Amino acid sequence: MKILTILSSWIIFGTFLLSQSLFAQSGSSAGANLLIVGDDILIYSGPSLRYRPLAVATRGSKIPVSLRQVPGSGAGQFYKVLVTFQGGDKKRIGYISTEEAVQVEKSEVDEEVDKYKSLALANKTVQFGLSVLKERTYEWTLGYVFYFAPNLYMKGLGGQILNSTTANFILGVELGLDQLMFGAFSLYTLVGGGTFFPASQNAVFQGSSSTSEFAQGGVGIRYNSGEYASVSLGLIDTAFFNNDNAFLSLGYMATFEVGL
Amino acid sequence: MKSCIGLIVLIFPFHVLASVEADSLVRIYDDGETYVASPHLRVKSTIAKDSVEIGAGYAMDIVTSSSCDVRSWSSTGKIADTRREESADLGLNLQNGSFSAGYVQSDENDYHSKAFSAGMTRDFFEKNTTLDLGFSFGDDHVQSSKDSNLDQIMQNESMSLGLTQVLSPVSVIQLLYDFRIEKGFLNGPYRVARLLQDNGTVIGLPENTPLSRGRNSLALKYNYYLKGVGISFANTLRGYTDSWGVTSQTYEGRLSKGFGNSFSLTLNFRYYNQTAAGFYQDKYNLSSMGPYYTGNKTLSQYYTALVGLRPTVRLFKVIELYGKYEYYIEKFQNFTDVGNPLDAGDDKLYSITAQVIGVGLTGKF
Repeated sequence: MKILTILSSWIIFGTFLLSQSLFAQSGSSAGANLLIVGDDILIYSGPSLRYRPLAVATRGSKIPVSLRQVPGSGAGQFYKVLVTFQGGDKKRIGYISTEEAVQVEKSEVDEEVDKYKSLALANKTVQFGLSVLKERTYEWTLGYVFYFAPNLYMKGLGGQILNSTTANFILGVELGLDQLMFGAFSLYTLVGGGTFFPASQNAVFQGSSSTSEFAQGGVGIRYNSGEYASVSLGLIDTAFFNNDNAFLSLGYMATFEVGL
Repeated sequence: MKSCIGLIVLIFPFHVLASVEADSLVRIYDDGETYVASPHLRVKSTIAKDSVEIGAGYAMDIVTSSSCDVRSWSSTGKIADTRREESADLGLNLQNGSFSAGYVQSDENDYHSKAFSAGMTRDFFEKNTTLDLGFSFGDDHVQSSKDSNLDQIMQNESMSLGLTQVLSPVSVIQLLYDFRIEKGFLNGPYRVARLLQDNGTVIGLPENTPLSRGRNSLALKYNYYLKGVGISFANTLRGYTDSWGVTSQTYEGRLSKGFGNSFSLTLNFRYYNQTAAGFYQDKYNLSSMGPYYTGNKTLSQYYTALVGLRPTVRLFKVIELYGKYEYYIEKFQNFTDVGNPLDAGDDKLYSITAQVIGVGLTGKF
């Protein structure tokens, strides 16, 4: 009888302990939010300020955050946060420096931030571009790309326009928007322009003189292999012109870039 | 058009179309010399939880004209033509902005045009600032009913950049820059430059214009809603310059006021003023004319003014019926109606006074 009493006490005690431990576990699975206390704070695509900005968090906003801080690839620690974009069904992992004016607070909803994969993207890249235009004309460029705001980049470029007889230098700038669509794929649009220097009179079109101008616009899809490299394919709309004449072409472009 | 709508329905059965918006408009322009009837139909819908928007449109311009150019230089004194335009577009909602692409094809007896465009927007600062980037490419074939061998190409490209800033809950400002370049056959296949003879009469000379034209425009838009009286103001100032020496200024204004939930009235006005192209002359003289000469009156110095009214009635919550009336004048400062080219005494400065009426129906389902 005494043994039965001891056993039943153990069972009751054990059940109590088990329920407590389960309760404690469910309590610890509650999520956390990062409350933005300071003014606009940049969220980066990787755990360092050298990565591409992903979004801007405004004062008072609450962003789901992982309870584990991430060591930065340079110095310092970063919060790993889950950024929700337009429509609410597009989510991406981002990073906020622990030195920013933020507070971690409990949340009833656990977004399971650590389940999402992150895609760190380089903020500065070197990009090689090749365009195939009409009449066996080609354009290659080498450019320095810098993302100065989330999704918005500026590129300085130099290169050549090649046709069957001449190679003509170009120098210009480009402004582009690059927005992630799904996974590692992004959609981008660009406009740009600059100066081109025909190798000789009438080199690119009848009437092209010592210095002329060019303008171009384009659209394409880019695959981002993390911070290291990305490739893209797209359409490019190019005009080389001066006051007398012009060469206009809709062509295909491919780019390859490496992160710095 | 039927095939466009059929294709949309085939690809996207009605149960996946979240919302459908249809707009139809019939517009009639009449200046006493030229009559244009223009029916338009446009349908758009969203799919995939409103993240994708698809649209298609069809428009016609049915033209009969006996304008001064036609009277002076055409053997019949009157022309008739019909232009048909089909369009399709796609929009995507992205992380913090949108992407759009469109295709427009237009055909008439002697002119065929295809244009492709794409653009992206990105919102910043909680959608208070929006950046737009876009470009387009067009490929036109110019033909002539007088010369069956004429088939010339005119290509055009444009690049645009826009910045929109919300200033307050009731005001927004927008700055737009647009560059467009045209290359190829920029002459009119029927238009003639007027060459003045010693006896004061004129003969027509097929025009010859530069092979390319670069156009730049900068527009500033400011919209404001005056809460106290419930009136919204939309204002646009636009400056333009091109490589042919034409400069222009445009002011456009629009005032809208709602009366209850089912009626609104919009008043719009526009003033446009331009200088002539560097090589434009009303009548050329053999001794002083350069390599380029034109009979295009839109390259002369002129101004236009327009005032319009648009009442809108909302019916059954989902349908809007609207009317449109516009009064339009165009005054040319150095383009004359030569009348009979052989009669030196009947020349007079050209002007147009036109009225436009329209009626449209919009439904959102």
